[in-house]
Amino acid sequence: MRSKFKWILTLVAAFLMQFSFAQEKTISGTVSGDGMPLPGATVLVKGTKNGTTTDFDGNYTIKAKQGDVLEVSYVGYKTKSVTVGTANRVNVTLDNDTALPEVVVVAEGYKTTTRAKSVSAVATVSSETLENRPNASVLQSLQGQVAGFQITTGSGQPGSISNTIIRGIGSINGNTEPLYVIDGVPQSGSSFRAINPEDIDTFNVLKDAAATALYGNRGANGVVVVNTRRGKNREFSEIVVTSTTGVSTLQDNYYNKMNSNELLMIEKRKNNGFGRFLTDAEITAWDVTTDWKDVLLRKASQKTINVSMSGGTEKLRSFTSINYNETEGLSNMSNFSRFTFRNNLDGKAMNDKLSYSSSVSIAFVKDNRVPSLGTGGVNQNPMLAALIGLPYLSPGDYINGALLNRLARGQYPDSQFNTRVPLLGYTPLLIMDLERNRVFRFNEFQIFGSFKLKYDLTKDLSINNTTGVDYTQFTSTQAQGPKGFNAIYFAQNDGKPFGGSEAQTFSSDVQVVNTSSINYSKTFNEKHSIDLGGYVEGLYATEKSFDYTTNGLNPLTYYPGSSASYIPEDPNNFAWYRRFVNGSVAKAALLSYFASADYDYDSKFGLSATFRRDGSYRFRGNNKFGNFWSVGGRVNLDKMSFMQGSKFDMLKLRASYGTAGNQNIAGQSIYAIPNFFKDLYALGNPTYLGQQSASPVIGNPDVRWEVITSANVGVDVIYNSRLRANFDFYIKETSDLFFSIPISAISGQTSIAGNFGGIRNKGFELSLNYDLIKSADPTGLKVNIWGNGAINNNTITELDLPPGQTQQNLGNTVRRIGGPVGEYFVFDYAGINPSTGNHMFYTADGNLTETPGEADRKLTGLSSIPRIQGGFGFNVDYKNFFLSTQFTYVADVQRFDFDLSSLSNPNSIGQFNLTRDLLNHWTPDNRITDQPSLSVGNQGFASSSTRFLRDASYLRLRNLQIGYNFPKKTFNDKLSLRIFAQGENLLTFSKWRGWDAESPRGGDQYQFPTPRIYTVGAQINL
Amino acid sequence: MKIKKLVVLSLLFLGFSSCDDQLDIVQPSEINEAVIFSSIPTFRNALNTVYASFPYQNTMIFNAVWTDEIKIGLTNGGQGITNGEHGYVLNDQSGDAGSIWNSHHRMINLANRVIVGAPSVPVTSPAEEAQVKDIVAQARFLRALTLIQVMPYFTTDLADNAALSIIAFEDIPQTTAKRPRSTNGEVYAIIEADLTYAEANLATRTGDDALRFANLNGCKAIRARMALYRKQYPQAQQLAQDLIDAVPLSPRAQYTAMWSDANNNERIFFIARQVGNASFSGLFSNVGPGIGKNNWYEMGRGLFEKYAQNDIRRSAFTGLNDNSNVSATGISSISSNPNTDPAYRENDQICINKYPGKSNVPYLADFKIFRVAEMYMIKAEAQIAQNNLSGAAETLKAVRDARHTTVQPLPNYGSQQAAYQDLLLERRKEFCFEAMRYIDIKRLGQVANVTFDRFFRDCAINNSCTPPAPGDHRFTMPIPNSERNANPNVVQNPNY
Repeated sequence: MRSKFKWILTLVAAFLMQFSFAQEKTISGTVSGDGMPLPGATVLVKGTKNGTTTDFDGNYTIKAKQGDVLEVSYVGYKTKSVTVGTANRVNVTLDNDTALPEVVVVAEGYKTTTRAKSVSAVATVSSETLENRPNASVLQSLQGQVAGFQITTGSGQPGSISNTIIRGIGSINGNTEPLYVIDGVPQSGSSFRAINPEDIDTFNVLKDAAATALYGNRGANGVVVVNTRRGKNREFSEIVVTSTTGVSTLQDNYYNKMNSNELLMIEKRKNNGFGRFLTDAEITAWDVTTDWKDVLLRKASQKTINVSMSGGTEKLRSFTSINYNETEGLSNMSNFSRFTFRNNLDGKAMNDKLSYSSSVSIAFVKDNRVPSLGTGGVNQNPMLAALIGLPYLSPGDYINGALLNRLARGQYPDSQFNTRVPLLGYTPLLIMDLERNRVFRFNEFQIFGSFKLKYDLTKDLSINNTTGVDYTQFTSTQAQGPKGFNAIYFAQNDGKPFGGSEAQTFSSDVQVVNTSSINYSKTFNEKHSIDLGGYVEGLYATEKSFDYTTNGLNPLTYYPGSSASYIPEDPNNFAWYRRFVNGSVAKAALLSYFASADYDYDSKFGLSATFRRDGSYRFRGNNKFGNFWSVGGRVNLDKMSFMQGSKFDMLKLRASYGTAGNQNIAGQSIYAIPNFFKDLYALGNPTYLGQQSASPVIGNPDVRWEVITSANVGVDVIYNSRLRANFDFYIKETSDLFFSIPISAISGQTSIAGNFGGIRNKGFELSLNYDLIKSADPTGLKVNIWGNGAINNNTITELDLPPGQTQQNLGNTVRRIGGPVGEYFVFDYAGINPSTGNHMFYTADGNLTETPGEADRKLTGLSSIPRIQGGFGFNVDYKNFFLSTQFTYVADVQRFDFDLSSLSNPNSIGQFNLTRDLLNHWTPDNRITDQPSLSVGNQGFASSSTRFLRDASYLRLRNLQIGYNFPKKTFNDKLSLRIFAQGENLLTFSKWRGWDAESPRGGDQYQFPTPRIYTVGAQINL
Repeated sequence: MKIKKLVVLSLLFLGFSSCDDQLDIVQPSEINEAVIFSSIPTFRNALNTVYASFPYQNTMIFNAVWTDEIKIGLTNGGQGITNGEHGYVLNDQSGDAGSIWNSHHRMINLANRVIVGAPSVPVTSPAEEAQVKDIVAQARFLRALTLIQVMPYFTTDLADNAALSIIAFEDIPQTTAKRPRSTNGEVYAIIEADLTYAEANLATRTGDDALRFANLNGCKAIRARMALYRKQYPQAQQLAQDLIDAVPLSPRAQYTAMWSDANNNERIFFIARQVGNASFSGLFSNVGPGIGKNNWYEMGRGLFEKYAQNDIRRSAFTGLNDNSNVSATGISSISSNPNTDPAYRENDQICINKYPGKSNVPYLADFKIFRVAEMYMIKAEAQIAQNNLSGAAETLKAVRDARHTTVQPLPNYGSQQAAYQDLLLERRKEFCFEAMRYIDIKRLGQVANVTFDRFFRDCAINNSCTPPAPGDHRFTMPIPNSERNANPNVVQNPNY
């Protein structure tokens, strides 16, 4: 019975099959992944152009014949092939492919490749790790994500620009920032102020010569390729609305400052300042202790709303977003708001032979900033007052600028402090006044547009053109309002009726980049594929600016930016009532020719080579053009026959070697040192009796490209679909390093810059990512851990100093062959002299002295550039909840704690607050101590010594995020909702006592610390 | 064929994108040497640079802070203390040594550019030729002045022709130049030649211009100072006498106004300062002299006490009313009992008012490079050196009489040393804040057995009550590090 039935059935099947072969049928089904339908997945009949995408519910219909193979693909999932059988309904479940995204896009704009075929050291950060982070500049969120990519933020001013370095600093004076290529167009890191973080799709960090050589003229410090989100080929629109709100607070310092009683007592003891006028009983009874940071700094709020829409057809896709961000700074004087708009279009025409894409983004940024950060301006820098303001003053002591002026002059007997607190001691009150009267307002308007065209001349040969235009306009209004202390005080000094001053500035910067290329791509015998490209790229830039300053404002009519209050010039009576007008124009241009060639054999071996000829307007003659090149190769061991059946999904060895040039040798600006190769004269100031002077400007005719040569070997591993690892070793040598060397003063100046040295950076990088717990159940427990670390050794290898010189002393730092850049060169601190209470230092021959000489400075081998840095964290998903953490760390880094230095300076007693450490100061009865006598005579040496040079290593919980995805169909078919909460800079472990261990500077004093931020938010997909 | 077409098409495509010319950018407003030396007006612009760049503030503030002219002001924010400047610290890293060395050598370079460039300036008439020569003469005058101003700081012995001096040069050195120090003899020879040229070629000017451009009396004043430094006393005395005869001392009633540039009394040569030029602001205070005005330095009590109450200089330099202990303008206040006053710093605020400023710009003041008062001092010193002590007494008395309300007693010196001491006292009172004190003690400290003298409560603040003894190595500045690092051929001064 069984056999009979079988027979019949088979017969029927055979018949049907034959029938089907002859005729297409309509297949339909659902594509799903992680238990959810996948909208927008691609379904393609293999070997044909017949394809479709799934709708919102993951459904598709396609015409196919039995026996056809359907290829179903979706970003982030493994592509699956299903053979069409007899059934007309084919449901496909895709497996998660977080393990090996084939989407690594190297050098988008010039060429692209996949992770497996890349010969380069490239790291990718995708949008998921950056989404909804509360940093106004997206670079801050990248910290700790990429091995060897060091990101340091030195200011808590919202929107401030981070300092970014890839694989150690390759230049002393020049640009050390990587090149940012945004949607195929090179830009500078400052652009990120005006970029909506939510628009970013991927970051690719290119680290070795094989990848960066293609960017030659500006890619010597590494390249970060940024792609913004683009529309996907779907027949419907997706709308995403995200809103977050949060609060930022100060990170604590551990200076342990004195309270009023302690400070007044020590003032009395030193016989200086207000405490001197009080009896012991009065001091004990003093009940005001103001912590000025609570008055001058605040809990700051922030909010962001982002709306994006994307969608399209096969011929035209679009992505549009608007974003509004409002962030208050910790200082009452700072805030930041930004509106951005972006539209990205991709289309095809002329039978798909022509493809084009355009990106337009518009940003408007408005911010109020804190002036004079890092300076000792007691009437200008709020951070100074917040740190060292006298605690026995209280906010109530400030009434208005006019009374403060009288108090500062000792002409306000109503105040108990009148004549008893010296002028500098009023700094917190001066800052309260500043908050009310200082205008320091900046507007930035940026339009960035790029247009890309690709035309296929033949199947293998295409021509391409990319044009990018970047227009940035800055305007600012900066004023000392006429009712404020500063205006009144300075006017009264000079007997002027009106004080105050106002400046307005305008600058515009237009940069046009055009790249044209011819590309050829062909596969021979199915195994040999080659890609060839020839390129020409030009950059043309013009910057224009003008500004004016006027002195003398009428308080009756004053409004920032309005000239109604300007007092007319009156040179005869008041020279101070003057207008100053400036204008400038600068131009720059770069030109490059380059070519690339790639060869692949059956995905097993690959070779890449590039050659560039780069020209810069900064150089002349033979120095104008530099030739740079690179070669790279790889072996994909996992593809070899002997590895068949192993658990390695990828095991790739790669190596590269090459050179790149840096022409931004005098800083990041394309406009810096535009004609340094010429000796020139400047006509103008200083004047003599009103007549212009002509002053020489000495140039260096030999100025030329800095050349960075790098070698890299690396391994990329994916094991068992669980472990992903990358390891790299590199050596990066900068030659023709541009910096200043001393020259004899008889030349008219004391130094001249030129290509006089070399630096080597050598290091290791390791990144690991491991799926600790995987689950087939979409709502099951998933745990992923990751970490990366980099060690970089920075060494000066060449210094072309005058004969007899082996090192260049630069005050507290030194340059020498074999030492790191920025090596500290300080006196070796030996504690307090028990017999005098002065500081002691070791001399060069190991004796003790209170007055060390220059010869006693010590080579420390230490610098402010961390040798070790990285990040780690874990991600947990369970039942629609998700939790992610990100820790960052830096180690082997030293910085001067100049804040501590001023808080422990006995000379400040009477004017400023101090640390309690000083209560243990030296006295004849307390000789064994680490704090000097109150009348210490050599405090100056202490700040040039190891005394305040501190270990600034830290481990920080940079980000913690927790959230919940409401299950599909909780609300309705279309709407999905995710809610989340996160914290930035939650915990820091460090020996550093200041507000913020993180800083790119070697010494910090009165700086704006970065905040701790808590936000909550929701994201709705429609 | 098709391939060939494609290649041609493609190359054309790449070709139209760019060409090399775009890199040859001439920046807007660029001018070079050829332009400057192409006409007399632009040539004069180069001379203006030399006048306008003349360094004076750095020597002035060094003399004030390092010696015994100032005290730490009530609202001092670390100035003079942190870097040890007011604690007699002087080493090859000291900012003062670097600033003085560098700015004066730059001056020589700037002057040389005018002198060397002159032959390229086209002239079409004898009048124009005279103009060019006048410009060169002014540049050479300024070079001589620069040399005589800077050499005392760096040479161990001004009178020794063989002693090492600064680097004197008459060309425009390459940036790679590494020259040894000149000897004093070589420097004096250049000064001599420059003055001779200047005296022969300077044009005659009138009014203020006669004093604020290079002039013949100025040449004579440089010669007088040089002769004194070289211990050529008869010449020094004669030159000084010529100028004393030519320029009177200021009447007492006009002395104060002299310092706000309201008159040209006593001036032989000055560098004019106008609105827009660098002033003395930021040296004692960045606000202006006056109580409550953030004065980081005030006049040292030690100096103040040297003035009799009826000495006009006491009033002129402190803003106190004439012959009084009060200040109607609120510039200074005097503690009545400085030795024991518990609020000494608050009560004794003697603000430095020597450069009150003009045009309502505080501290904007002409650099009074040569005043006739200096010629009296030169004459007196030459007389003492030639053992004419009574003559010296008469010379000093003439200055004193001019400054006080009453006729001053004629000093009677028991010894040369006593005479030198009195001369140093008078120089201290007359030339405070005029960049003289350090050089005075350097030159005369040993013969007079005098060094700096700070009031005990002033120097207690930073434990700086022990001045260097006369003859200490610190009376010659170190060659600054910036030069030594660049130039292995310079020899450092002893003990640095």
